[in-house]
Amino acid sequence: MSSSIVARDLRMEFTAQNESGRAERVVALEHFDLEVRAGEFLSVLGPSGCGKSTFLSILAGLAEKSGGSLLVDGQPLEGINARQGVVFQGYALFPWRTVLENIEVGLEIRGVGKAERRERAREYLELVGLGGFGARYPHEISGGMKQRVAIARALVYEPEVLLMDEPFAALDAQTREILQAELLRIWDARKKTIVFITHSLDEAIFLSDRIAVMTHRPGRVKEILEVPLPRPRPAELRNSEEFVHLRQRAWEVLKDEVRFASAPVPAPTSIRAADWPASAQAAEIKG
Amino acid sequence: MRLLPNLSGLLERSLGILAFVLLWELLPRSGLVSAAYLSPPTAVLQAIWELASSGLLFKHLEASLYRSLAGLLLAIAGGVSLGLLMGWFARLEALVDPLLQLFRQTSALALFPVFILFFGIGELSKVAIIFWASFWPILLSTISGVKQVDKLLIDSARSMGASRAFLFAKVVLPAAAPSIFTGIRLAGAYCVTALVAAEMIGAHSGLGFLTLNSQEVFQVPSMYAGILLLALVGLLLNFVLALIERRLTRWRRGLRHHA
Repeated sequence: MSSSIVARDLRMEFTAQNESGRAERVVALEHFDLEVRAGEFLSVLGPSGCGKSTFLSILAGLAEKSGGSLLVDGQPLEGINARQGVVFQGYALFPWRTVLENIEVGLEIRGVGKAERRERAREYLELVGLGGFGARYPHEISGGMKQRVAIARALVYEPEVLLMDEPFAALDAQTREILQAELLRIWDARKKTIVFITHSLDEAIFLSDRIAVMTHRPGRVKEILEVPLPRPRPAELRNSEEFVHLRQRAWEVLKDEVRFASAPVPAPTSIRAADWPASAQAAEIKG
Repeated sequence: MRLLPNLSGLLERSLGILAFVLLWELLPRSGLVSAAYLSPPTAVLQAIWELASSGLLFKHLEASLYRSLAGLLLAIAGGVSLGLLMGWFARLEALVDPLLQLFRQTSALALFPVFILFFGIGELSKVAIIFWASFWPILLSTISGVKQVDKLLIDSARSMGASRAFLFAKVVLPAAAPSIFTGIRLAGAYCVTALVAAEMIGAHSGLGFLTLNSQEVFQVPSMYAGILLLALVGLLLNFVLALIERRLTRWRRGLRHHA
């Protein structure tokens, strides 16, 4: 079972302090329309500060929308949607719990008994390739491993939708590519709807079925790009002509928005994560 | 190989204390300082031995431990629960904070006459002053601990559907625990200070009473015995609190440099 999400004319505004310390109205989202199909891998791509993470917060039920409608399986979303799991960029693991205990949290919240909790957590620990690390504490493992734990933790209570908020942005390029491939493998095994927030063109293309490209703030969906690349997708796909072509197209859509977002600096270096060496990609396959 | 540096390290660390004890012994013995004012440690030890064999030592020790632990435990219970509430409900904190700032600046010793007025000269007023002195550091560090809980951790638990009770017990409390313990350790030190003050005013037992009373009747060695025993009680309390802290925040081992 997977679920579909429909956002119509979504609006989000809040009060924030600007640099001079004065309160300022910020409109993060306006006229935001998006439809997520059941079972698809959809990326939301946009320049930093465009409101893409705000959309995810609303979708997760962590932030309240200011206007518009948001339907999950035809039902208006109210509060936390217990049928989705969220993976944050900052891992958000509980430092006082071991890896295994961290994975158990969602089950604990759902009142699952201790023995069953342990068993299911073990299964997901294996799924993300961390068998044998269950007794470690988060500060004893690397960033890439922490994010694997966070993914296992979000999956273990079998949500229908997985929301991922720039989950790999804090990782180094190699670890990042390894985890992207891992995520596709897991997605293939567990068939969920995934909404994946990113500011990386390459990441969005490599992972997604479709990419929603956002405008600068106030954010709305500017264009939806189909990614017709065949699956399973090996890492070498990044060097293929089709991939490069898609990247070119996506960049065309995105570049004005990036220029806006990063003004007055004209060179949008942060958005173009396209120039990793091929050797790094090769190394990652072995890992 | 490993033993040798350890041994020399131990020696180095005890050197200061050994020199101090030696000096302490020699000053009154040589007559440089009158033995009527300063008793040598051997005499102090003898005084402790006599107190112990007469049973007086345990009477005083018991009275002091009872008061300090009662005051401290009440302060922990009150300070942690109120602190959790105030850290969690920002409105409540904004409302009560100015009052708390005033109260915490009001010295426990200055309030002692008030406590005596209300609670009489018995045990209750002594426990009250110890409670007052220990309460504030616990309350304030609990509030700051709760306020500093990473919002991401709360969001993460909420996203998994955590109830308020779960958030409180399984996220906020453990996240604030290190800060709470800092307050409790500080309270342990304040508690002993307040204990001595309380026992020096209108008490008939306790180490503070023993110390002051010995001075009044010119039992100088047993005065120093009282002081030494109070220091030991302070050390012991700190040691026990540190032990509990280490047990309850075991996950932080290997994370010390972040603390």
